[in-house]
Amino acid sequence: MVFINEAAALNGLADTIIKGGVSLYNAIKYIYSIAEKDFYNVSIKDTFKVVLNNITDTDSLQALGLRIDDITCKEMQNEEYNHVLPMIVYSLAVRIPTLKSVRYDDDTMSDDQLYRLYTMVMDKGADNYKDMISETFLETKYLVRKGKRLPPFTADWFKTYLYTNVPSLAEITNKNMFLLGFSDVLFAMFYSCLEEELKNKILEYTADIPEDETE
Amino acid sequence: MENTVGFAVRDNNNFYKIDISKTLLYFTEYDFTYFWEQCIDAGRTARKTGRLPQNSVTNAKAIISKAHPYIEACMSTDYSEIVTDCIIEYICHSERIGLEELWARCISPKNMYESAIFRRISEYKTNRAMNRWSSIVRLQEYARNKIDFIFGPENGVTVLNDDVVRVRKEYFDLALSVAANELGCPAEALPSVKLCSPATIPSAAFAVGKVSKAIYRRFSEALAQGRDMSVLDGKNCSKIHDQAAMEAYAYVKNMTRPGELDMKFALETIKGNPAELYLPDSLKAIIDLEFELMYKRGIYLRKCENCGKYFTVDITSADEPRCDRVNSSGKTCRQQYEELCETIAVKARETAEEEKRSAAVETAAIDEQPEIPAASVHATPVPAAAVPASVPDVPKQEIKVPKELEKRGQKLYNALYKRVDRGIDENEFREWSQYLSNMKRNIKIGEATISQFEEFLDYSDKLCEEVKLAAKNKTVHAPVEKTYEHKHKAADAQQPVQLELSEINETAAVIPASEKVEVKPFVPQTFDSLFDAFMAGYAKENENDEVAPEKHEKKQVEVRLPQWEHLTREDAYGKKDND
Repeated sequence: MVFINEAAALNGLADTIIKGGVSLYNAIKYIYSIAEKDFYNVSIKDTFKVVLNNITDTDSLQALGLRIDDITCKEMQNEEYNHVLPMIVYSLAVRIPTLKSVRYDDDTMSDDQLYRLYTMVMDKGADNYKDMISETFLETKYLVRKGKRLPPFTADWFKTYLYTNVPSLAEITNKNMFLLGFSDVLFAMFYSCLEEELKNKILEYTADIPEDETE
Repeated sequence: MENTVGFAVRDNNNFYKIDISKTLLYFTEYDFTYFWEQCIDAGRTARKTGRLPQNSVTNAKAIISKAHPYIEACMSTDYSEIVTDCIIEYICHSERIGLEELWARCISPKNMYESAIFRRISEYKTNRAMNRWSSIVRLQEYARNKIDFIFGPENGVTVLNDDVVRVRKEYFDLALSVAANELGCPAEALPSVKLCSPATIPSAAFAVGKVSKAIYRRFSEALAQGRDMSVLDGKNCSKIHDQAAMEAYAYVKNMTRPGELDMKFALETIKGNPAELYLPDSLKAIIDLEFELMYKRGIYLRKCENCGKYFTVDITSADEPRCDRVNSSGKTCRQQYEELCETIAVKARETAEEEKRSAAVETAAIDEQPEIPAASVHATPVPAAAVPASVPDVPKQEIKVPKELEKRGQKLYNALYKRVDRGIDENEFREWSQYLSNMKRNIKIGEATISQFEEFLDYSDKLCEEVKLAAKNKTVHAPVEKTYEHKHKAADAQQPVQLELSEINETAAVIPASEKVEVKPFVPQTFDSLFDAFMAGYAKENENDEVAPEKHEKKQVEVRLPQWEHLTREDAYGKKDND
């Protein structure tokens, strides 16, 4: 695919993926804080609407009165849980080959462009800590090339990690059960919206190319 | 007793005061149009520029602060977003959309204006705020309705006494409580007021800052080592109030009285503060508090008969029907009314004098004419229009109705009012009460005398007894006598006719009882068909004709009985179609 400025476009896409990862990470914390004392005041449906409409920015959640602090997210304020952020970004990065399906005048992103984008994201801090995520970039690329269906983007690895590595969140409490419940839905819906956002970004970066340049 | 009370609000270290009844009246009559316009202008500008113009916001806040001291006190806290609230209300109203739709529109805010709207609606949705603007408007309506319910006139008559006011007030409040209870609204959700002193309000340590600092200095060491009680913040502490208080008290329980100098300093500071402070948790709470204090202090509201607005009266001036408000004429309603009464009185006096003069001229003319029998003079009816009802013969003087008569009238009113539709008809009661108030007014402007009023009250006593009896028997009282008004009209204007009637009665007494006409009860005639009815009328006419043949000559109406002919189909329509 031809971009006006390929480096800038790839950088922009990498940024969007990173921001999306951070946003999902924060959204989990914000929604977790509902269980502290706002369970009957804040509608989780409204929270989801806000998160999914602001895919790269979760500050709007503060309007619902949600806060991330040592009281509301005490169980998440530890070293083990901090590894979740690079893992989320990694889980998004390995799915970069799916962007091959985005077409602009029958043009798609080349394998090279996709790999460079993946490398950029990995360089910005994505990490598969303790190999918790079984998916890989190559595997996804293979499935896309073969036209096979990809497994859905789920929170399975996230839950496994919490059970095995974050004792404060593995404990059976009302708050933790709430976390495990909403994360399944949030991961699936969030990925779907992020994919849409990335497609729009790609089209945005290619849309303004003058006719003579594309030829 | 001073008619002001102090109040404080949470998150504000200042003390405010309300002027009992006046604050309420001011709030109910406050015109919010200007505030509304300012907000709409601010909203329009914000739509273009992306942010609310601070000048307009400040102006609008200043305008609405004046509506009630409570709003002023909470302007930096609860009412800080009132302009946004007003804009939200305006958008929803003008674009016919709900809050949910507006919230969804602003979910990805593009500028600070949209962000402000989104944030505010989010606060509504999470029960952290409500639309303060629409709340003020609804509370204004609530206060107006409550005033009307408690102090509003009934059938044109204002009743203001402790019992009536109390019952109406309690009834109104109880209705709300019943509704809330039936809807399952928890008691804690409803507004309430606490009575405190400046030292016991939540912000006491800051509100009485100088003395608090002196106290802190005495116990700073002990307090520094104390347990952190801030963990209770945000928790439900409704069941552990005493425990928390005693834990705090434990650090100062060995306190001795301070030295004389410190005490003097404390006295100077505390003396300036009100001894009693109310702590309302909402605007409704302070409105209700004002009603409560009005009742306790005997301060009532009364609807002005001239301008229709309520004004403050106390138990001594409860009967004053007009207010001291300056109206468009530049005079107060009371002044205007007094001047009007004076003009009427002067005119009436002039008319009376003129009539006297013309009567004297007429008498002189009659004296010159040949003598006419006295009976015929009496029989000549005097046209009612010639005697103006408002012009009495006695010279007009302003008389005040004595208190005991006033009370007697009030007592009668209450007694009759209780029995409306249970002994006395509503219309009759209305007529009677109207007469009562007219009578009072007439006395005041010198058009009626105290004795006339007493006479009316005597009549009313009788009426009341009858009504009571009828109420016991569960019937409407029998009109044994004509009403006072009718009786008097007859007595005043139709005196000659009465004389004639007495003459007739005298002649009637001569007729033997057997010859007296017995009045039989009316039994309506019944007919089986229209034809029977027609024939009955025809027969009656014939009977009358026999009695008065001259009438028969005048009315020669020929009545033909219908003659029916039997027609076959062929006769009616000719031959059949087939033929």
